[in-house]
Order: sequence, then C-alpha cells, then structure tokens
Amino acid sequence: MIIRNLYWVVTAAVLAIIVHISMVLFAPGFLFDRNLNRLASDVPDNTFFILPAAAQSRIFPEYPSGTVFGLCRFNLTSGPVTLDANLPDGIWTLTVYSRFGRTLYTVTDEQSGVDTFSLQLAMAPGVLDVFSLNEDDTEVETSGWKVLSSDERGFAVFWVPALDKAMRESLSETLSKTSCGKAAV
Amino acid sequence: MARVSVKIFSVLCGVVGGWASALVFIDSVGSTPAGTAGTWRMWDLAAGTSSNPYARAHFLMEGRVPPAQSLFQVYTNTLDDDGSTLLSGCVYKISAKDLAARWWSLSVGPLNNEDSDSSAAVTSDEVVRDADGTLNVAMARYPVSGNWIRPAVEGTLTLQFVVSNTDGTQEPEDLKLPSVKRVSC
Repeated sequence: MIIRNLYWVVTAAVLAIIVHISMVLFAPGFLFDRNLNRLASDVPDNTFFILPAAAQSRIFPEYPSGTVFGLCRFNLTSGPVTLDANLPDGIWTLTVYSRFGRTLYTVTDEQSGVDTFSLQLAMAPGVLDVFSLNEDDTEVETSGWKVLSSDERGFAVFWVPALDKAMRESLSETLSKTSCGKAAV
Repeated sequence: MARVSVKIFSVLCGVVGGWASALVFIDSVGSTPAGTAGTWRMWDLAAGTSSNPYARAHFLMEGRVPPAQSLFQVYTNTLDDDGSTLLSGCVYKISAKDLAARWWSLSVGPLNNEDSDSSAAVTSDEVVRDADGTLNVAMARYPVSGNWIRPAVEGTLTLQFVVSNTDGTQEPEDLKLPSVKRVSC
C-alpha cells in the first residue's frame, strides 16, 4: 500500500518543504511590506515623516509610546536618495532596512559623534556593473556616508527615546527637520 | 476514486504540514532561553549571513519591524519564575539588580490601541530605583505604588524587555535579566 503510494508520500514531503521555506523566507517579508504600505499609504516614497503614535504601537509595540520614530521609505528606481538627518542631542539610532525587513546599515549617536549628517542611499552595482565601473564612480563613496542596497526599495528608521510622553512633541519637532529626497546630480 | 483521494490527501498533508511546521518553528527556533530562571527568551536577530530567518519571520509576520541586533537585544517572557503563564488577573513583582544598559524598556503586551490610558511600559529614563540600586516594577491591572506597568488586555500576557546594545558594555549572555515573581491572583 505504502509502496504503491510512495510517489504521493514523496510529493507531500516535497510540498511541505516548499511551503515551509516559503512561509519562513518569503511570506513574512511580503506581509510586512503590505502592512507598511497600509500604514503609510498617504506618504509618497522618498519623503520623511514622523510615525503617528497609533501606527507606532502596531509596528514597534515593544517601545513605550513616548518614543519617537521617524521613517523614510526610499525608492532607488530613479537614482540615489539622500537622507539629511537632524537629530536631537542625546540617544538616537538610525537603521536602514530592505523592503522585506533585512538590516542593511545601522549607526548611533555615539558612533557618529554628530547630530546632523547626510547619508546617501544608492543601488549596489550588479555583477556586470562591477566590470564597467569608471574610476570616477568610486569617488562619491569616499566623500560621505553611503549605503548600497541590493533592493531598490526599503526604509530608514530613526529612533529617539523620550524621558516621558510630554517630551515626544519637542523631539518630534527637531526630528521632523530631517529630510529624505532624490539626491542632487 | 480512491486514487484521486490519495492525491488530494497528499497535497493537503503537504500544504498543511509545511504551514503548521513553519508557524511552530517561527515561534520556537528563532529564540533561545536566556536569564537564570530560563523563562526569558532572546530573539536571535543578527544581520548578514548569521541571521536567523525564523527570528526575523517572528517579527515580520506580525507586521513588526525586527530590531537590529547591533543596536537592540529583545527578550520576551510569557512565564513567571515558577513556570506559570503570566495572566492579567494576577499581580507580579519584576525585580532586577545591576542592570547596566544605557537604555532599556520593559513593557507588557499585547497592546490595546483603543486603551490610550494604558501604562504598558517603563523605561530606564523614568524608573525609580531603590537606594541599593535594585529595581522593582509591579505588573497589575490596578494601580500599585512605585514603578507600575498595567496590562492593556485581559488574558495571557507577554513581557517584552528591550535593551540598547549601543554602548557595547555587556554581552547579551551576561545581562542579568529581571526575575518575575507572582505576588497574588
């Protein structure tokens, strides 16, 4: 009986492995991307915004409500994007994620030593592009902070903790001076 | 007819088996026991080749942003020190000593977005310590003097402890995680 149905037993096992891998590697990223699209549906790409408290409690539930999160959803399809950060004095972090939630880059107040800086986000060169790069193309990489992403879409998250809820407004005001837009050519 | 049933059964077994095993693995394989009591679980969110896809999926499936492990360590706990499930109807005492992180946050989930009065989190910035440096936080539905966190929902609870890694003073394994003792029910 089992031998006769061996083909279907193997099929079930292979199908289970495919579904398992898809559920772990691909489905979460797509679900998250869809959730982020829904939360920030009215914010265009390459625009910096402070995450409203209600949305914050959904995607960062383990952080207190006084904490300020600033987001920029970047799209590198039409070229590099520059993030001009303006942060309050004190603790902060910046994390750049791919659209599926993979960490690409992190920096903190202690590592940077400054509260205002520019970060350029650009597409990582493909395998073939590496052979056709000119010497000039590498110059920009030494002139400032640059993050190369293999995914054309992603998001940058600024995190600024507050002593209490009352401080959220003033921290938001400072952080909202941050901008995110297409890099000047 | 019997042949068709075998085919359908095989496909169903594969899909349901793969889906169910993924859900179980996402909740169990992505985290490891932490702390002396072993009831806290540490989420393995390292970046790059050492990243744990199950841990990342745990956050993304719920629409949450996975914290970068180089910046934050996330611990969760659904049990008290005696191994009983955390319940909203009980009062708990959460204690810690020598918590040397630059910033941390202790919160209780799940959150209720409609309950704006909920005080579901306490952070290192606002917590009051005893004279000897000991930290005591009460978790209860009703006000308790001193540091207090209030579950926003009825039923089973999850404690979330987020510790900033930015100063690099402690390895995650060396951190003395808070004890969770049931006071009354």
